[in-house]
Amino acid sequence: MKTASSTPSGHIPFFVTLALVAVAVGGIGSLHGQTGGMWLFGAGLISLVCLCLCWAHQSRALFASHPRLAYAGLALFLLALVMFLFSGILERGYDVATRNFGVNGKIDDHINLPVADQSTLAASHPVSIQTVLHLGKVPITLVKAPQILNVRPGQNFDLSFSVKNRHTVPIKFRVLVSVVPATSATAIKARQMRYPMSTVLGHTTRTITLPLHLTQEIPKHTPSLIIGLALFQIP
Amino acid sequence: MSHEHPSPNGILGHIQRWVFTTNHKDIGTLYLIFGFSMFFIAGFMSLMIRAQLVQPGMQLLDPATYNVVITMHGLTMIFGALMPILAGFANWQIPLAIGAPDMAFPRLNNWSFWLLPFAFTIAMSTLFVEGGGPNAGWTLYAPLSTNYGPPSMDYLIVSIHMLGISSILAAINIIATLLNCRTPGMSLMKMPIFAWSWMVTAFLLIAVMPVLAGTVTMMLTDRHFGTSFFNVAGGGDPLLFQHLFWFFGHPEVYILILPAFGIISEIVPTFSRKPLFGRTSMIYAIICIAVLSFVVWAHHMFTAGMLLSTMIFFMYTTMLVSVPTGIKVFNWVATMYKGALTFETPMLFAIGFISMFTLGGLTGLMLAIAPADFQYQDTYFVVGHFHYALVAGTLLSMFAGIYYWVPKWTGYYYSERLGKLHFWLSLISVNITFMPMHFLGLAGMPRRIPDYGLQFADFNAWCTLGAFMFGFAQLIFAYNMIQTMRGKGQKASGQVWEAAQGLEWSVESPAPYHTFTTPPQIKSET
Ligand code: HEM
Ligand SMILES: [Cu+2]
Repeated sequence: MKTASSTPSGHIPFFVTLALVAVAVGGIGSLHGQTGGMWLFGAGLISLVCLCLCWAHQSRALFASHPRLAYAGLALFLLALVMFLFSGILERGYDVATRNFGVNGKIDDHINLPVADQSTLAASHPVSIQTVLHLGKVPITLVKAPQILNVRPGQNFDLSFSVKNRHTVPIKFRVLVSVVPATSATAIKARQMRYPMSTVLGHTTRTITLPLHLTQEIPKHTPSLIIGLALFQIP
Repeated sequence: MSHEHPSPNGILGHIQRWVFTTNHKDIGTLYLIFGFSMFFIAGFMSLMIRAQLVQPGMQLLDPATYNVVITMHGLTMIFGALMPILAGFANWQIPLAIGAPDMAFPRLNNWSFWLLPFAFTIAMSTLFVEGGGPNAGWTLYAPLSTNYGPPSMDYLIVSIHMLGISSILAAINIIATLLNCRTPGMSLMKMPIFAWSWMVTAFLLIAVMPVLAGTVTMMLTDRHFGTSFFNVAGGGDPLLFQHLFWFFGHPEVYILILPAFGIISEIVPTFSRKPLFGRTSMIYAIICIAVLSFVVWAHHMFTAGMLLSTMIFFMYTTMLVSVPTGIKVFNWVATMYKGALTFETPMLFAIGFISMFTLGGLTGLMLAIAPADFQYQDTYFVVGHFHYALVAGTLLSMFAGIYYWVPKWTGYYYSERLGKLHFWLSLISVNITFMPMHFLGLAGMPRRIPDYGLQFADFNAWCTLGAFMFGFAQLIFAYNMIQTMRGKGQKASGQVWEAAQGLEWSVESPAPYHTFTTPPQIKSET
């Protein structure tokens, strides 16, 4: 029925705040290359640790005098910590949902897929695969666009296109693969890298090949699908 | 232990008193003063926005500055004004309502307040750093805030971390207080509704503020430490940012409205001279809204691309929220029904809240319909919707609460004449400002733009007129409150309002510095 302490000295919290401000401002300052940022960060961090130890030391009495209250506070603090970690779990979950279930048309990395027996496939219908290429802001020119392919479920296929770098500096970019309709995304697997990275040296042309695989999971009544390749430059 | 206010001597003594205070009433006052100061700063920004939009063409701000102003307006209103003001109510009223001498962790309480002014100093200083302030909108969508964000975004990120720590600590304190410090005989179900609304809100805060902290941390590592959570070029996904943000963001809007529900549920019975209709159902409705708020987030992202089945799921869960919300509105109206109503300022604001908030809920339902949302998304219709919920909703409830409890806090009544003037001016101008936004949105005017086509001119002029009227009305409020704090009004008794129920009315007005040092007895029927 009592609170933690009726007349506690309230000095520590304010100084903890000041130390935290030093850590925050100093840390960002040093990221921005400001001189003194690191010093401020370090000094803030050391004082923060000392102050927190001191505060924790003073709070020990609370566990003896009001254990229920102290443990309730501790449990709630742990809950907050768990929720912080939960944001990481959400991030993983999103990855799984998009890559393994094809949400948003994303495809999965896939290595060592056994190639199905070609003879049984002859009867199944071929799927027509078109490719849309977005160069985005990558400063290269397209020399040869990917072709339309007819692929049977269970088969490997390669998408390739050629680009030319008209500048002198090498250009590095990544190719992002997505599938429309998104329901077919789980049927497309990458045989190597899901998002391969390429470099085109100055004044050269390069052919980029994406080794992919169409699985049997392709929904029936899907005579054609579109693979989107979006290029993103890596600075 | 003295029942007197501490009497510090000299300027230094005064500063020390407020900086190191651990008294819940002092901290409540600090929260309220800080929150209303931020309210006026962010309000000034909103008038800059409205001045810019008074007619087509560029008036006041260049487009880049305009983006900064809308971003800071939104962030400051939500994290600087609304949340701290609500926390101020919590600090003042929760111990008084449950008969506790103070909050459970008084020093933690001091810390959660003092983080705020520092966090906001950092956030506001971004306006003056090289490259300009944050400009991605209050939702901070990646890649606007990551790849394309100005350097100031880093300072905003750490200030959000500090705000998060502050909210989480306050929430821990509130829950621990409500669970452990109630006066003997007050079971959980007997706890006043205002306290209940904060119990649930505090759990929401503990659940989602850390997720926001995690999200902005990912932003920081994307910007500086080579990760690519939100960067496609590295195999990440900007859509992930939206999911994470709204997993926080939707419960956040309930964090802003549930305490408002609590305030209204205290005021309506007092001025209806009847107990709250369906008290138990009110408590369950609050819990129900809070639980549902975790499974509706993607209604903010219908147009961002998702599976049809996902869309349908989020559409139905969103609509489901209106059931417990409807229960609450029904119960307030039923409380008033056949009551001996009087219309003092708090009651006027409460009735204003109920009717205006209902409108906000209705437009929310329209937005929840996925195919319709394809039309409304990112238009002024959305701006209209959430301003009805936040300004005509949360803000009006805060005014109601201030007028209701200020005699208890200061010992003096406010000027009823100015209070009523404030109410009518606010109510009328809120509608002039935000109602036309719905029409603008339906006609296709996008949100977050500094200029617009000629066909939108008339309604925009109305919006600006209403906004300046609303701003003026708040000056009346400020004057009225300053006069009350200076003791210019009529002296208030401990009871203050004739039919008010609850422990806070059993202490004298102004509430002594230390209250309930011995636990009060509660009447068996309350
Ligand atoms: C029955 C209740 C409600 C429903 C069904 C609802 C539904 C929605 C939907 C579907 C959107 C997304 C609109 C779009 O971007 O296209 C939205 C936006 C929003 N709502 Fe609500 N809402 C409700 C109540 C509230 C309340 C009580 C608040 C705040 C106190 C609120 C605050 C907001 C905000 C701030 C946004 C816009 C966020 C942004 O994009 O900046 N809503 N609402
Ligand atoms: Cu929402």
